[in-house]
Amino acid sequence: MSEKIVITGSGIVSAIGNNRQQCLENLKNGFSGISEVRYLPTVHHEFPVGEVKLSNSQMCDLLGIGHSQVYSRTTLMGIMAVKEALAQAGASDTQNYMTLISGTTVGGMDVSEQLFSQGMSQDDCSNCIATHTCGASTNAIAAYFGDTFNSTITPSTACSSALNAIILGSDLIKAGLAQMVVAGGSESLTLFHLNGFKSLMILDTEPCKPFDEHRKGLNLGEGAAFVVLESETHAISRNAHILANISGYGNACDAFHQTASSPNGEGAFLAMSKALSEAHITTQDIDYINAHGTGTPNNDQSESAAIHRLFDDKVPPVSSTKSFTGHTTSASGSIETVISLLAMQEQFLPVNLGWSTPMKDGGIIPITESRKASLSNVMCNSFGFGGNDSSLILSKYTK
Amino acid sequence: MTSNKVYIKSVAHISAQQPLSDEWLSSPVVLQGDFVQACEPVYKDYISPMAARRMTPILKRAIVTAKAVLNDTDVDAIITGTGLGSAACSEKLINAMIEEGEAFSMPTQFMQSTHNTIGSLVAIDRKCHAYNATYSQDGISAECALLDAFVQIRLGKINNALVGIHDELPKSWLEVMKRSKIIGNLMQVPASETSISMLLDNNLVGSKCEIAGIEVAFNTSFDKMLSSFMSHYGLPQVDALMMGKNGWEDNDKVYDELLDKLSCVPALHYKHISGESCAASAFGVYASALCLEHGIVPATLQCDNINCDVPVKNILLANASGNNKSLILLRSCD
Amino acid sequence: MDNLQDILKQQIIDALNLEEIEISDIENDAPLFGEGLGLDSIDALELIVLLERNYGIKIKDPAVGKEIFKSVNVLADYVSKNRTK
Repeated sequence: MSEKIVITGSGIVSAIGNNRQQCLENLKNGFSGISEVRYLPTVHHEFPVGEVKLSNSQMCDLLGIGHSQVYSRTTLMGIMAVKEALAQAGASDTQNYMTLISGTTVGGMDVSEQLFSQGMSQDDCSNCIATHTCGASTNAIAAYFGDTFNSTITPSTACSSALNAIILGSDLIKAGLAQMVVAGGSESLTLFHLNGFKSLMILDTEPCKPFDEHRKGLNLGEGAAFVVLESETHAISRNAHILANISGYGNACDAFHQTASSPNGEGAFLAMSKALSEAHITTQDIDYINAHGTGTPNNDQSESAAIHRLFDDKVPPVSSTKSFTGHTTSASGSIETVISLLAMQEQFLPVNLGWSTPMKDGGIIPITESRKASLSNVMCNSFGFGGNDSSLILSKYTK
Repeated sequence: MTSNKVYIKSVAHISAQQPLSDEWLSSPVVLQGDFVQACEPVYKDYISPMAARRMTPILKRAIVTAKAVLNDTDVDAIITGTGLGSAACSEKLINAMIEEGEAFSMPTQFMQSTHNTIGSLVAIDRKCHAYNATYSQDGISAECALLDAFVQIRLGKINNALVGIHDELPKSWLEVMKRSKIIGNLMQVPASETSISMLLDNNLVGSKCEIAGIEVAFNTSFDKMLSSFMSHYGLPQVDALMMGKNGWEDNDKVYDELLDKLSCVPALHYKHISGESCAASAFGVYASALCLEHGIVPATLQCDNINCDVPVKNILLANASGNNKSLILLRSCD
Repeated sequence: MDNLQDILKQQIIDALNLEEIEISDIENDAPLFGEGLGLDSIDALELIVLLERNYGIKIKDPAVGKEIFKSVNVLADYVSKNRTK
């Protein structure tokens, strides 16, 4: 059997806080971060969003970055979360052998939409090339940390990008091709995808209601989260404190439609099944599912069907914490992994805000009252457009 | 740990050269100008008009090259590399936003603007529920996608994988690259578009070559990468060095340390044949695989006068893209 | 091409890029989605865009779209009653 992959650090920036502690408190207290748009220069104030409550220049100040350099918001949030993760892992001074895997789809689109609208001078073009692509946004995160990272990889599978980053990171360590990986994702709100989601008519004009009969759609959010991954042996050899281990993961494709999920949730079902079998545990061992739960009619129906297929009538407590953070798209997989990790460490079940009426067709009944719970195995789901479905299981670490 | 070996079984391309053909080996199309569009096959022969109704060229290229390498083969993974993704769709959205402000509504363009549209559409076309991932790391997106497949085959998680590397160059991005002087001034090869699909497999039978090692890096010299490569895969035997030079001095000088180290092996290049794009390095992998399959290096790929040992057995590919670099070692199957 | 049905058919063909389909291939009463023309949810969204652009009809709830895109006849009826241009 291959070696355990463990988590030794985590960092998070989201609508409910700029670090782990703030996010944890708001999760426990049931305070959502979804509100009227404030930082994104959009005309669409009818759609509530889960914005990180900092402007770009405030983030630059916090990070000691000069205002003359052009940074995308995706990169700035990414740096904040990576910094927190490295500090917790006691790896801030590590040199030259870590891999950064950061999922994103939007990349530096916030900068590009600005530059394109102002007509693209030669300087604009150079700035655009330096910030626009997904790869560039990951490289800019890595560059902030000097010699810490010697390789960068950017998964881009839409809303499951960050979870797939954690999956690849774990595989690279298992294959002996990386020793320490910082994996997760970052995605800022942009006019590009706010208007894109509006075109798909799946944005709710009220705070989202995952798994509710009267759910109307999702609220977009933004943020970043990362975990520090290493083998158990490596963590022990450097006396690192182990927070949890990654016991299984699965990636499957719904292969149904470019945006819609299949009615029976085939992709989600396969992803969760693979994760369980890799973890060598059964459905009964799962103590909590952090659902993808976007609040769109289609996702929540499809995910409910998949969970019922797999767990039958013994469904563990489920919630969608997108009711706190909004749908943070490419970052959602790692944001929800860190939320699951916090729930595990602090022994509580995060609730599903906004829910009141069960779905008519027998959907998931999420937990709405926070309670203490001893969590040994937590499943975290993350699904993307095109049916890029992934599922991850975090387990309480025991030697 | 004993690992499974990884082989390249088949490759198909749609690029600046004759599509779905190895003809360029003997008679390459000479690329001229700042930008050369991909040479397209007749898509109606491969995709029904109903299925193609929303597909942009990059999506059609992905579907057709996948069909060409797979035929009826089922795969355990579909892994895609793309630097810019469906850039033509993103461009239309941005243009609409500039012209109409936030009043526009473009569901199809938005849906297809995400990078993973390519890989998920291939999965839908093939009804493939297997592992599916997409990587976007500028000019080393191909290497990241290959690395994922390589790792999973070595770990025994999958037996085979379709790896597709696809990039297009829409007008506005071409314009950005021109205004920044990279295209039309600094770079000495034309910009182009490249789509390549490969079937990787753990079974040697009928393979073109073996992938013996892959290394991707950020802010690291080729020199340091070589030592890391050796720590992972052992000392590589190298009979030829295939470089991703594009004639832009800043980009090309980073290969000097490799050339010094490997001064007695012939140096090869391919971007004068493929043109430059985020997917170009996949053409280098394809070209090298053909060399190893046939045991010879055609003169058109050589950039010095050093004689190449025949049959050529080990080709080290080196590629640099901004702060990212990659090394791939390909080995003949005999 | 003078009746609204035929005009709508041509607009649908153009908007959805239905290359090999002609006006005469679409029956006035045949379903546009599922078994008929075989259109999907994204096509429905494109038709909503079409209605707003060409007829000034704003549809906010995609579920309403489902009802009015049942067939060309249903659609033509809805357009003639609700058009603002």
